[in-house]
Amino acid sequence: MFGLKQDWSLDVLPRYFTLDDYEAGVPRWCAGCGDHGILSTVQRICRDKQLLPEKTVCVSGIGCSSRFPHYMSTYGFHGLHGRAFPVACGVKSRRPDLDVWVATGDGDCCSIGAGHWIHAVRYNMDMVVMLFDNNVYALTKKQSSPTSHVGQSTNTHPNGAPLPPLNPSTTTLSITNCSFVAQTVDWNPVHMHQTLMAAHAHKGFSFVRIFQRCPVFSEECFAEAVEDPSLIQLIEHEKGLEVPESGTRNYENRITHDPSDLVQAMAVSNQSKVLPIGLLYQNEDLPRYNEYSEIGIHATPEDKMNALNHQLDRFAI
Amino acid sequence: MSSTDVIDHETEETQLIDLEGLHFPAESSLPEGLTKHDVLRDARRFHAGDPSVESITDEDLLPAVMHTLRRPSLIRTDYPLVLLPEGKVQTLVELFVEIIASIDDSKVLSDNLVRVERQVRESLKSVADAKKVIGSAGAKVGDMLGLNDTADLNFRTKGAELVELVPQGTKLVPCTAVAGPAVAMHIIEAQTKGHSLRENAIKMRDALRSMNSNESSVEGSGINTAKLQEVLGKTASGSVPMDATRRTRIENSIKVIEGWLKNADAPLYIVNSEHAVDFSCPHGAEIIDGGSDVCGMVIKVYDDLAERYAPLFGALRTARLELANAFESPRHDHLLNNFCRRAFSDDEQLLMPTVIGVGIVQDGLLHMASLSKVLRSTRPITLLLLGDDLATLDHERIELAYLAVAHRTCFASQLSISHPAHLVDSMYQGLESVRPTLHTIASEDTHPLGAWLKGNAAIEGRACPLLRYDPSKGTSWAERFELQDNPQPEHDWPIWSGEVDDKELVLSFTFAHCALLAKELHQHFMQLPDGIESDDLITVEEWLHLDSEHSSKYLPYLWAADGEGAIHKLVIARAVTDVCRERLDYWNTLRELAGIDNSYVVKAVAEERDVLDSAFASERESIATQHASEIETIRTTASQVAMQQLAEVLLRGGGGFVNPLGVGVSTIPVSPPVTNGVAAPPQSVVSQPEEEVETPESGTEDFGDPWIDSPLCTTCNDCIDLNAQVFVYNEDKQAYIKDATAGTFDVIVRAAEACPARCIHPGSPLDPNEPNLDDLIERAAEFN
Repeated sequence: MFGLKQDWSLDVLPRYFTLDDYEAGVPRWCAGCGDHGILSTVQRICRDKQLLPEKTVCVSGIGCSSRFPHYMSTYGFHGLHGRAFPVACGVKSRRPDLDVWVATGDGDCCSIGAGHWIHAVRYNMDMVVMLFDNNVYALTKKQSSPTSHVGQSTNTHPNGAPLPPLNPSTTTLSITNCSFVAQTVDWNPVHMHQTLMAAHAHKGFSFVRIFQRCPVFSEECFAEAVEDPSLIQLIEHEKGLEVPESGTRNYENRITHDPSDLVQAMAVSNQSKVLPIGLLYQNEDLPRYNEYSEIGIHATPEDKMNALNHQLDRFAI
Repeated sequence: MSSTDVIDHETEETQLIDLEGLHFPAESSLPEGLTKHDVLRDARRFHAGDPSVESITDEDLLPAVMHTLRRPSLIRTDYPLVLLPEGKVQTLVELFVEIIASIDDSKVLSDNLVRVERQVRESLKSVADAKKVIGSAGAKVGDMLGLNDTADLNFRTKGAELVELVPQGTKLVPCTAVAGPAVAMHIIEAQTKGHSLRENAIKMRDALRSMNSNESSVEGSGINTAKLQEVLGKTASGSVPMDATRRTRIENSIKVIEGWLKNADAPLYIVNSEHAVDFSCPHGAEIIDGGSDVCGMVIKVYDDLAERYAPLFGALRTARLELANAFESPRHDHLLNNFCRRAFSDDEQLLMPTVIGVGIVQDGLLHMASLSKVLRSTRPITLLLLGDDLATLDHERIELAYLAVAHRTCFASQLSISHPAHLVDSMYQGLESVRPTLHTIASEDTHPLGAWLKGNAAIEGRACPLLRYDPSKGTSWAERFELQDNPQPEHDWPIWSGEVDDKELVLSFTFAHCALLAKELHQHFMQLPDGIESDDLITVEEWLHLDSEHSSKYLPYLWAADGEGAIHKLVIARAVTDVCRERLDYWNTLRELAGIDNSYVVKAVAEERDVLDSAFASERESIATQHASEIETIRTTASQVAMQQLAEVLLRGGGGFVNPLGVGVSTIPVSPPVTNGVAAPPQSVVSQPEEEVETPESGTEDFGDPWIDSPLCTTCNDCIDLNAQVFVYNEDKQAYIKDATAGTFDVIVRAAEACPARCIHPGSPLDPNEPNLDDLIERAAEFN
């Protein structure tokens, strides 16, 4: 076109952000905690995409993971227990121009916040949701969470958790209007980076379950999978994630799965012997509630008053 | 909207274009009191040239495909061009990509090179030193970014490294009219013609001097060589005295060569027309005022030079012959007496100073006789004529490049500063050919959209098609004539397709679209009220396909976008459509010459197809007849055989089946493969391992220096907490070993053990005297 190449546009902002521009404070997470890696991955994505800090919001509930907004030099909202989703949906409803990232844990999302979780998935608002799944309530010193496995010894169940764990991915996949579900592990930054990049690029509610190590209260949960890569099952497909070879070379156990196949996505994610990582499901053609809720956001107070008067005038005698 | 605009089928031949930001107007804008009939009646009057109908007044209207290009400062073009000292020409992006690859730890700089590039493009107004311009642009970008101290220091340090790596003497050229002459001068400057001639002349002079001095030494010795010859007899060999004529010839040659060496000419003669643009001439060039007749002056300058060089080339040729003892008189006598330009070889012509004339297209048109004299001669003169009337409505205009092609023996090209790759290639080829060369260069740098877009619109709209004609390329037109650098040369006009409001829109770019860019031509466009639809309205490219009898029934229009992105139909006046036809005719003529869509070929193919179709039809008929006859024969034979078979079965009470058509079907029993009469045994599936397992050598294995597989680092801080001098985060906040000597091997091994990602590899200890080394090496082995 007019002698121009593909990358013809020089329409760039006069500002540039380094990694430091997205960092705030020193994380208080324990040494060896998987949360460090998730944080730095998100900061790298913000830097690589040059997201405006003033146009980015991190929202969380309560838990170790929910300290996330404190360490991001963006807008943030450290909410109430289980209430990350209502806040995030509220933000997106009336500020669709903001990039919304939600940090929540297996306790925060899948237990007390389960009601909001279901409706947030159905609303399918455009945001990235990171479920830090360490199988335990760690901030309150080791209580069983909904994802604790049978026999996992905790302070609430010293003899081992008695119930089979809830699977956040199959649960999300089963909710009406679910549009994006992926899984990754915190100890593979390359895979995690590509997963979160895909989630950020997706238009809709991008749910990413991150298997996250807690070196203090649930060390045994992922120790085997860290040591033995054959316990990880890599999901591959041409419509799936594009992960550099450095993030996949250790995994011989692989499965080909079309992320547009919802039924197979349920089967792939519902495995107990291996941890499947990759894109489980994606559908960009589903309705997004924020596109409905943002109608009229540019109306001035005068516009609103006029509209109100117009309605009231119908009742005038 | 006509049904031809919004199409449902796939358009395979079009190229996709991003039409983001465009939309159809929401409502009809038909003025009150007017009907569709009234509007169309006015439009017909406007098309016919009635000045009372109002033309467009919105100055922001642009062809729809150009809507996204409204802000030229945000467009990455091939400019500024980078002129490297060794004669190479490249783009700024290519220069940056080459240099940045050799600078480590430069993410902040490389991420911001796009800003530096933009700053350079905005600040560069004339040819300038690259180091200065890039350095100053980088400093401005640094000030603008407001980075934190660490990033700012990194940006400026790496920026200084980048500027340092730009070769000394590199120049940047902006997209203005000076680009053509600047590139030409740069390429000429890089050629070291005078240098090689000078070396050759010195070599020849010295060789001749040596010959001469040997002869003098024999004479001075008092030996009478004639007497000596007489005494020794005819069989004796030895020196023969050089005859006086030869000595004079050698001495004259030396004089001529020395004379030229003392007064050697400039390597480049530039003859400037009084209309030539002001450009920077290379150091050492001879500048000559060409007045209004630049073509006549270049011939005079060249002939004067040739007259001066003829004795030199004659002397050099004489020298070569004398050194080879091959000079024959009177066969070679003309070399020193009557040697002239016409006898120059190609190599000698290349060794002469380059003569280049710089002017404008009008110079050539006003002095056509001089121009023609240059082009039909054998003088390797280069003419650069610049043209800036890219969208003129003069439909009787003369195409100088096309005219030059008619001279058949010269190198001719139509260039544009908007297509620098074609310009640079043509300049190289033209300057290397030993032929008269004409480059006409389109450039209009006063347009608000910038010279780049205006020039490209002229190329797209066939107002100024690029062409190159090089007679050295071969004997056929297809070899000599090139049009391939034009956009979509297979089409009359470039065709684009994209989506507007979820509807596919096919948009051509004709001369009329190019004309819309010129504000002075807005009087030839009339905006139709939005929402007007009629079968009488057709796009200008469709209209141009119709002959004049049919086209008069319709009104031609094009799609234009206003500043807000709403697209409207503009009816085009006849004054513009007439030029569209003329440009299309010129373009089709060029395409025929280039062998694209050649009418003779099309006709020949059609005729050949008719012949083949008729042959195929006759053959098909013959095969069908034969087929019918064979089927009839088979039917008769088969029934007879079947009856015979049935009779045999009934008579014998058994028997097999015989294929009535006589084609046997058999099953060949499978036997194992036999080799030399012995069946091969089953192959062993157990293969020997190809590689032997290496046994560890005795003693300590060397694992090299410690390292971290940084992409796998999870930023957990464990290693940093152990020793922040050894372990440091990189730009991605992932650890690497900055200085392994800043800590003990013990620290590195403990870090490897603590690392949850297991990406620290301790290697071998650097200090052999560290305590507990054996234990540490054993622990480290697991991570190496």
